[in-house]
Amino acid sequence: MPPLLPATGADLDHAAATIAAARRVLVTGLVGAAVADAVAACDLAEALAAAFDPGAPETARVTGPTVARIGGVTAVPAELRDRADLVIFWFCDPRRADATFLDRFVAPALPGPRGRRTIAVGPHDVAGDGAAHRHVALPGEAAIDAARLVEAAATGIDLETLAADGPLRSAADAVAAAVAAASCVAVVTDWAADPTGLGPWSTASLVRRLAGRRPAFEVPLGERDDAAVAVGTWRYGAAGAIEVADRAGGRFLPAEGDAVRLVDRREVDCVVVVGTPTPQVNAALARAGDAIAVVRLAPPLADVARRIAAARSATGTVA
Amino acid sequence: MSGPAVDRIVLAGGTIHDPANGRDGVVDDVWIEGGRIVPRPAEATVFRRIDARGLVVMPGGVDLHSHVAGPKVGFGRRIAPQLARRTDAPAAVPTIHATGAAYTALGYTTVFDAAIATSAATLAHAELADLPVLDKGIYLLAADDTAVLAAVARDDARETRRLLAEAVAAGAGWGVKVANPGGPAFWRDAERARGRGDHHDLDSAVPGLDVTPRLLLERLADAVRDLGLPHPLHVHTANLGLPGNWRTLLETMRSLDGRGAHLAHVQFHSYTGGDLDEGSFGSGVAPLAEFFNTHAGLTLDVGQVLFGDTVAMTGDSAAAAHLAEATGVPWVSHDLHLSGGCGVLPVAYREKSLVHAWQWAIGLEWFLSVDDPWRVALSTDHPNGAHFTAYPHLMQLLGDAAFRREAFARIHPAVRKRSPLRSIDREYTLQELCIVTRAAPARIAGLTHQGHLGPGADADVTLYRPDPDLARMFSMPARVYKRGVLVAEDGHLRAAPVGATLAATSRE
Repeated sequence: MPPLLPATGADLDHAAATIAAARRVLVTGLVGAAVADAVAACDLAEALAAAFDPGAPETARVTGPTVARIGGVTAVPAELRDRADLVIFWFCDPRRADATFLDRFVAPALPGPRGRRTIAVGPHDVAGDGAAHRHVALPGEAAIDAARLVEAAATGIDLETLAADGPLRSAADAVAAAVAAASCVAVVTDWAADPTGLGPWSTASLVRRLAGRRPAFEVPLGERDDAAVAVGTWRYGAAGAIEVADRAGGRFLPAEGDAVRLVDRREVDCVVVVGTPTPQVNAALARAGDAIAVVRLAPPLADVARRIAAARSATGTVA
Repeated sequence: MSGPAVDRIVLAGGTIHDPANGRDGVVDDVWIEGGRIVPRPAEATVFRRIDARGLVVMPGGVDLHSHVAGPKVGFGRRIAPQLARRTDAPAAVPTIHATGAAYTALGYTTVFDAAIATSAATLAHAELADLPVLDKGIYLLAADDTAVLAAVARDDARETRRLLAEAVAAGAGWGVKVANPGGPAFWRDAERARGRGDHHDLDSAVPGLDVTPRLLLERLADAVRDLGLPHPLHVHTANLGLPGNWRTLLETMRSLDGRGAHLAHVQFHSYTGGDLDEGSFGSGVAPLAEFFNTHAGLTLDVGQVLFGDTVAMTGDSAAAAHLAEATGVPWVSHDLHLSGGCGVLPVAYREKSLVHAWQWAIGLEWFLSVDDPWRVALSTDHPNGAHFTAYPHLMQLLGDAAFRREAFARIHPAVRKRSPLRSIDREYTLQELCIVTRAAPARIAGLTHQGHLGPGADADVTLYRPDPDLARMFSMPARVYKRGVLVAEDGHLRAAPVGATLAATSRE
């Protein structure tokens, strides 16, 4: 992976020349980008008639196909702090993304007389057993089955009628009982690395079911590309996988046009990474080796984007 | 010093509808210099002449209540891919560029997004910066902020004003909106709500606060008035979409009478009937319109429903949840219980649906029952009731009674039998259509440079070919000018200048 290029300097001329010589460019790597940088990245992609994909697989986002098929009910951690008297850490340990998460959002007392209980479901204990905390141990691969069973239990379906093993049933009963006793439930998830989309689907479905009976919401963690998703959506109508960035008619090709697939199929010969690529894109670039030129640009982008676009325009190779 | 000739044009000999200046079908010229309307100049030869003979000339359209930007609109674009990429109609929730292009092609030059959480204002403005042509403003959901609610509950008028002024300044807002006053608190208060929690009257105490929704409305309206904002409190009252909610709207009007307020999408708040009682579900417009017509301090937009597929989005998450529960469709509520979170879900309005037919009829009944068109803004609450590109169809429903009767004959038979619409023959004139689509919304919004063609106004001008088929006439203007620049011609975008951001300043 080449080094990040600063906004000025001679290296930028080399980068501009690389991009100008490309047959087809992909702009990606926008996890954690600010809105202004995502806007600048889109401007660059449009100037280059490039493909655009922020980077995280569409399937891993609660805002991806999951939203289209079943919806979603999400909130920020502050809602958990202010409202939830039951916090479920769903197959994740929030301290991995933010070491202070528990201190900032879980430890503060709720307003009023209600106390807060926590349950960690999955391989991570998170908080250590105590009067207000319980660890329901399950292996990581049980996450989706567990969500299905908790949803069934919360709906009143007899788990005996479902094909599920003893530990899963016990876990589902325990979580459902805690949910039944709660007045507001926060489910903390981290599906950023989910390659299939089934994880966010399962918890979105579970939370929707819980929210029909009481206030309940999901607090998704992990690396986020919210800003780029927002900008891509208002520019092109979709979060990513845009075949050709064109605000007057960008085409969304979710099954073909995401960053990983474009790289793996060598459908692009130059990738402009704005910021940091996701692990999936990184792996695809490693597989591609020298077959694909990679240019990494450091935000802020506005001037860089203009310079590269001008350089490409000067070569007469603008698509 | 003279400017370039292109900055000076005269639209010559058009038939002018400019209600704010008392011109109703007057053949005259419109003189434009530097993007503004100017009086007839002494030196007319330096003005480039554009022949407008035979064309109807109106100010650019002003949409007072729409949803075009912000997180909820983004979710709306993603939640129904089948409506985003259909080929027989515009995307239910278009991209921001397509939104501007379509509004422009329709002859609209100003739009307000009616529900932006204060915390999302920066993002919304970044998106609106990509909106071509139109001037744009936002109403902030600042009245839902916890601190504001607490100040209102304490009856601390000074602190309420300070907080609202701070929000308007920080969020570059044009107005303040309250969506379901106190509703989020009812909804999230599980013990009291016993369910979704949206069912309350205006006099129940808001959970956790020593205040009622009625007092919230009254004190917020006073605060907005005292701040001197150009637009009064923008009110989406409680119980949206629920049978029997006409009483809530009537009480809302009584509370706000004398204070000044704008009532949003009243169609969704004008239903008779009890819970799930289809036999008693119907129109509550008659008593509401009677009150409205005799209390001049109130204004409204209708939120007309038109038949077809769309996406609903509202700052009233409780209402979205209720609708989703009733229809079983996917729905989204992002930042569920935060102040100002929004609910989003797809909706299909059908002629043969009893409820949808009532909604359609109730909206039209509102339009046709209000005596003074200056107090009404035409809207579909885009995209909630219908897409904004359906405005020409709505205008034909209002201006062509025969067309309306044909449409009425196709709706659910129970509605045909009971709706007062069956006996209303009123037709909007061209002048009245001009009022409800530009002059009135501009005046209600507090805009001084839009919505009219008098000297000093922005040269936002739309030229239509007269046509007895009003839908055809209004769907494709011959020309549209934004600040004197030709931006659309026969449905094609000719230029895409960036419009102004309309941000208010308060007295605080």
